[in-house]
Amino acid sequence: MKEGIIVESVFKKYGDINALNDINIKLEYGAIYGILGRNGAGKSTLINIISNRIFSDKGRVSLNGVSVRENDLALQDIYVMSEQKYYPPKMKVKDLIYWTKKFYPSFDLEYSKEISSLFDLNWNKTVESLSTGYSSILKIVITLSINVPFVFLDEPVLGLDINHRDLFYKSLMKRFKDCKNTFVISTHLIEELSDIIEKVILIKQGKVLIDESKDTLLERARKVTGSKEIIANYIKNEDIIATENSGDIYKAYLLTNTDYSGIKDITIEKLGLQELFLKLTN
Amino acid sequence: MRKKVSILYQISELKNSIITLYVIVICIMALTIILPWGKFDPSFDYYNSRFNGLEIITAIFLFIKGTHFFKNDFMMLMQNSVSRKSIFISKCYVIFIVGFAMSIIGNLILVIGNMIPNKNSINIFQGIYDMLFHQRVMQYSDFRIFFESLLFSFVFYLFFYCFGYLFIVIKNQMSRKLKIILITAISSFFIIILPFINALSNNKINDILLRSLNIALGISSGNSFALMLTLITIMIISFCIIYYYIQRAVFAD
Repeated sequence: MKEGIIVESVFKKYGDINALNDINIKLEYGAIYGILGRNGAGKSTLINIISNRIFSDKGRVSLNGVSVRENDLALQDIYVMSEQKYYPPKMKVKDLIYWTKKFYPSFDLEYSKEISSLFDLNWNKTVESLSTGYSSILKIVITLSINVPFVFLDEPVLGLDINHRDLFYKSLMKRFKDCKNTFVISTHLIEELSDIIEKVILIKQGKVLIDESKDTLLERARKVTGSKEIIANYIKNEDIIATENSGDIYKAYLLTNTDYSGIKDITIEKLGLQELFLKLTN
Repeated sequence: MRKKVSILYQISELKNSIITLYVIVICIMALTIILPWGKFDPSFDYYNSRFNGLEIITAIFLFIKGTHFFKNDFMMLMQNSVSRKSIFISKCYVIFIVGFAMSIIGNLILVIGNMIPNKNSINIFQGIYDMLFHQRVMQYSDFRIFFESLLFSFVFYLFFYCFGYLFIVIKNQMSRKLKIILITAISSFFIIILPFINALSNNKINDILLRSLNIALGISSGNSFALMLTLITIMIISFCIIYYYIQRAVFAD
């Protein structure tokens, strides 16, 4: 049975800092996840543990019930696009692609040529001669061409201009529709990716704060504005994320299923993903 | 499958450097043959020109290549989701394959080099086996010595490649505290403890150590197999240490 990736009770400490504190998540097949969090929240640590790059202090990561730790068979269903460049600097792009195909036989060479020409990536250049933006493009080309069930992208649009970012998002969506691989994207550019991601995992100080579908989450995310006396009365049993007080105006940010429409003297607004993230993590 | 690709990748990365090394060596050897004929510098004694550093150069080359493990190979293999165990095993294969190939190439180069007529009509290319175990070389047939020399240079190269690998693994993976303890312990042992114990024992410890070293290295007894066994033993211990640290190596910023 295909369970996907299950992260069970994972802990990770660096010295006195709890990088990850009892993480329990499930990554299913055929979905686009967004792993969101502030700097140092534990996003990259989680991705590194899932992909066997570092080891958790406690807990287990499994793929279809089998531990991924030091398991070549399980690991070949996972690929991570890192923030850093881990390729030999003097290797040419074409050689890098050649070797990636060797390591991942499902690598789609024709697609990589197609997407390279879209991004205008020169295959005769060496890795070290690429600019920051083109280094990201190289990683994007390789990552999107690798046809494995779970693809992790850690800050994929680093250094990309708006045109290339737009091209990346479109390529990602097309690739997802064609291959139905699971893409797990860790990013700070929440607003740009909010239309693409289906499921949100929000990490704050090493703990999972949110792990649900984006649509369900945003259905519940509300900003309620009005006078403090009126609002306080209604929201006392609600999951209040944040409040703001400026003079007579009181704003409360909630995750709620309650329908506040029809209540006088208060304004209800839906929250966007970025604003919700800001309130949850501030 | 991933092990096989890892092996092929690592060998491919070494290919150009190995070719460059042998081109340089062959050029030096060619000069060693040609110069006595040319008499380019009257003050230089070309008649006694020798070239006997091929194995040393190769050993140093392999040691350096061993120290490059974390620079490219480890990162590329981890980036392509190869497990640490597979990385270690593939590296062992690479060390053996490269060591074996270079010992054959090196010995053939020496043999062919000595077959080329030179001004002095002597063997101007001398291998390390000949240098260390000259008496043994004189005792046995050329055929037997060729194979012993091949085996010896193979073990010699393995040792240096492994030593470079061990060096960088310890440098990168051992904790700072442990490194300080190790360096302090080794230095203290040789500078303070050993001379002290030696003095107490009326130099008997020194004698025992020197005799043990002599047997282990097989030089005065002319037994190359003793030296090979010693190097193999050190390598086995080294590989165990390397495996221990590689299993714990972290691949992240």
